[in-house]
Amino acid sequence: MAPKVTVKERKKPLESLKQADNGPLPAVLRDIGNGLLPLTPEVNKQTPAVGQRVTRPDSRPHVLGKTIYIDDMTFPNMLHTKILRSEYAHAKILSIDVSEAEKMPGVVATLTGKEIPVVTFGPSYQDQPLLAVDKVRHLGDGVVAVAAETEQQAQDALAKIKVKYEPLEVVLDPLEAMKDSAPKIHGDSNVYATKTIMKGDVEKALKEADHIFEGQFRTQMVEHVPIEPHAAIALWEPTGDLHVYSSLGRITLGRADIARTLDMPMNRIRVTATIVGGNFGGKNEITLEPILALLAKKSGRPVKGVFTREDEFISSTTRHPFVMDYTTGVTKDGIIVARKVRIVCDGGAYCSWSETTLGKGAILSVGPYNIDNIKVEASAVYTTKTTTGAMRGFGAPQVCFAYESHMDDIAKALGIDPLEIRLKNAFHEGSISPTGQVLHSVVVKESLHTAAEQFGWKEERKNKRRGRGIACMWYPIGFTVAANASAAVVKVNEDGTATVLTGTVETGQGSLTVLGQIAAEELGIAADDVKVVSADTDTTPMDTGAIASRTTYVTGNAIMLAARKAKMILFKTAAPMLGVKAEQLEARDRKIQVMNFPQKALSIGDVAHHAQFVNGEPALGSASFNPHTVAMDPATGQGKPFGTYVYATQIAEVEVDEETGVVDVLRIVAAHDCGTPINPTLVEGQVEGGISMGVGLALYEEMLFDANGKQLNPNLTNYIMPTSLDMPDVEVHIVDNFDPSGPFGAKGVGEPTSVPTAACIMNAIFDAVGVRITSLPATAEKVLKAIQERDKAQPKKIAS
Amino acid sequence: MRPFDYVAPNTVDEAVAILAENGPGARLLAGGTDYVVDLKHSSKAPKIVVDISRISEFSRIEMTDQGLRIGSGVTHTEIMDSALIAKHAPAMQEAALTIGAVQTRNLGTLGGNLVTCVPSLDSGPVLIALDAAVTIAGPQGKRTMTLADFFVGPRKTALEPAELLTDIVIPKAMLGRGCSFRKFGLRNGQALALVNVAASINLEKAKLSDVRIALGAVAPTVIRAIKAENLLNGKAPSDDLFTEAAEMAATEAKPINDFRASASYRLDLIRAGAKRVLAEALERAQA
Repeated sequence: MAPKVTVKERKKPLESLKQADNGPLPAVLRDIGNGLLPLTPEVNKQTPAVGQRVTRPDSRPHVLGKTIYIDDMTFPNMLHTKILRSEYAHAKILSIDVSEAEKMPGVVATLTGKEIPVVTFGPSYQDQPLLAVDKVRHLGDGVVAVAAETEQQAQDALAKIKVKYEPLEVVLDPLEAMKDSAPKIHGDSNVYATKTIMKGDVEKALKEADHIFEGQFRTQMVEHVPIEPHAAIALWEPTGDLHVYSSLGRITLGRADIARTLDMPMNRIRVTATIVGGNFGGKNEITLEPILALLAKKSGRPVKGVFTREDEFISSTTRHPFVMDYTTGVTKDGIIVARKVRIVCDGGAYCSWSETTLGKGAILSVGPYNIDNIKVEASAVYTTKTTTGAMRGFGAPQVCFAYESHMDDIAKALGIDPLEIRLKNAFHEGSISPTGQVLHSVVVKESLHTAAEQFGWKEERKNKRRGRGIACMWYPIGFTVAANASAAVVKVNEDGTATVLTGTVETGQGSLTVLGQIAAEELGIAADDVKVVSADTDTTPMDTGAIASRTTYVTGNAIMLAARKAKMILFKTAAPMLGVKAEQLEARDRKIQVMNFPQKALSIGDVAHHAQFVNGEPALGSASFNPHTVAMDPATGQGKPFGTYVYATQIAEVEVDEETGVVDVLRIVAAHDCGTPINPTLVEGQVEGGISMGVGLALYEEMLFDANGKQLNPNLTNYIMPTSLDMPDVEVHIVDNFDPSGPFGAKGVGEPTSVPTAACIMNAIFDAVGVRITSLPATAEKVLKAIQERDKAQPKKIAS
Repeated sequence: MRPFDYVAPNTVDEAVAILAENGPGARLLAGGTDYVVDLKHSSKAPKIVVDISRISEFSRIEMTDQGLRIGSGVTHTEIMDSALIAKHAPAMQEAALTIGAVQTRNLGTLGGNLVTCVPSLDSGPVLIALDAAVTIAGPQGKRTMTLADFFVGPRKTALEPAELLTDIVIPKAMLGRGCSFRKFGLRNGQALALVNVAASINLEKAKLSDVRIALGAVAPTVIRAIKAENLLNGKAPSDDLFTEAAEMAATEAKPINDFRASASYRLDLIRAGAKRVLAEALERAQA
């Protein structure tokens, strides 16, 4: 099948785009032309805002340093908080004495877990204390919080707190933690969540397969490392209401958790999110907020808390290490007939988002391939390590590394080209997923073709020392089965501009720009005509927040529907003014006009003004959206867990230094599906950012622990993230697609961008030097060791 | 951070007087890329911080009778931008480029890098390979010594109380020599060295002479690989000889084993790195 998208085809829309800008409605400012336009997919005739490279309204303040983050904010008499964390990775707390600390200069209040009305929280199980009460389960557990006049005074007071512990045995390896003999971290068993997915008869199919391949793959614990650490300020209004400013990415659920832990009615709590300086999944849960609220209550003063970088490493959530065993049966032609997967997920000290990560990981672990016989068994296990939780990809980068490494091992053994074996097995429109869901808007093959063509996969190699590796993936949009609604309000102002109210949070990805474009599109106005107001629980409607790559799809749909309701009021207003029926009207070019008779039109401002001031029926609409899902059968995993999925392929080109093991990733060609790219520039930004996280996962990043469960590298000196000098050239290609269930055909792109990167780099290393790295990260030392082992093994082969 | 007194003298004499007056409670601040981080995290405030960044003679780069003189306050960026250094000791620029990030190089100084005296300091190996000397000012006036003698141990230099490093001199005989530097870290940008290697080579009638190999981050201070140098001196260069010398150099290092890398990997890096810097230094000596 020929690729649906080529550069050639993309030239045509450029012309129409340029024309669109010359027309009556410049949807983007004219002076931003930057030579990037050729990638813009065809703009639907009725969509002057969607598909445009609209400039983010917040980019200028970001670059000028004018954006206000929590740590820039201050209130009169504000106190500062520091948290004393555990001395042991696993211990009973025998006693806590804060009396000496309270006498320290500048100290105004202290707080222990016993003083918190409901001390535990968590999205699946409420097993995590805000401050540990009788037991600590990892070194990041907070035990006492201190509020003082200055940060230094709060820090100095921590040294005066006396906590007596009875140390307990630690368990750091998830496979060890599964054993009966392992120390128990909560309750009777360390296994706290399991998922099973069954389809066909895997044992029978494995027996009948021509070849069986096995492989074990392991991934490491990594941190999100947002530039802005977790931060919050709590203050009590004179009315007795609580106001919390927070770097949370999900304020609707944040407020619910704050209300629950403080045992307060929700209407008395206002959560305002500022612009968040990076989330990546790490800011999906409350951390400091209820603690600050209680310290503010005790002291009668506003209280600020900002995590240090070390807090961020040892106390905030991280990515789950996975241990993955794959058994795959294939025919001699390379058709996969059966796949068995066992996943053990290192769940850290508390559940957090492990249950969800496990479910998503299990569903995705089979890969974007048509396999009739499947068995996946996955378990999440407590260990006395840093809590693992939500992180960009929710288990997908882990399983993609495994299934795509495994795929290349199979291809190599059967002598099939890695691209061909993927095309032979890949999903197509209407494929049935491992959970029995019929898949739509499936473009995994198109992404393979696009990436391969852009990379030059079939061309003769110019440089024999270079290796190349391919990896494809699938990824769902929205929560796994669970409701994840968004609501929105759209107001068309009396001059025809519009204001959108949304409860989602801008966490750096540009979502507010995209959401504004969706509203503009529906209302037939320019993106610059829309202002998006977000993230205040008192003024904006409920939203599940910036998680699960859902904002464009779910919040976008809600905004589109809300805008449509407002538009209907405009149509109703304009119909008698134009002497036609409302159904004959359309909104385009800042006008309400009669379909096919654009000369018969009123300006949207005049109509909105008329609606408000003459008819007394202002043009506003509210709506909500929740993706349609069907619960999964607990025994077989069969169901429809997600509304839709996206697909992507990345191809890496690497050079490996055989004397030092250093891997130089030269180039990554990425072909991503996101449905309609509402704003191609932001899609490209997501892909580039996702790839940088993927490079870190592949080659550098790993949180290391000593035998007592203490982190060895909780700082940016020794936790190695890729810098700009470590990044490859990234070429982004957006695969043409349209999903009818998304707003203007859009799906999402945030998380999937980081999913296939590590996998394609590992396959490129394999191609370059013939060593298979089965545990991430592929540090230079690890790669060199594998090369040295390869060299030791090779002479033997020649001898036999 | 805790409150502290701050003073910014304009001359070396003033700085020395302040240091002498305040004793060990006085701390020097130049670029601050190292010290400000310490200051933020240390449990005790210094009595006084003496900011020496305004002492103008510290920022000079000039050719003198002794050789190329570089003030201790010259920043890494200034090293990278200096035409004099580019002409006479370009390997110093290669080393400067590996230090921190652009911002670190804009603020951080050569003197600051040397006085930290951490085993992994990136400025050291090239300067040792070029037999650099240092000048020190103190209450008794100025004194000079070789950089090799200046490095006493991890975070310990030959500086006595109330003394400060004023400049670094690369002797005339060493200028324009074939010299090369490699740093191996855990990534390309802003890396701590696992291994630093520098070599400088003199050619006499197509034979190697006065070869200097300096290894960083693999011993308590920057060291010379004397046995490897002896192996090379007086011989005609060849790839095999360099491989043999690199093997020898690895036997002279005592790298640590930690979570960043094993000792045996650091030795692998010395073997790879020494061979490469020797080959490149030779190429430059021949050019």
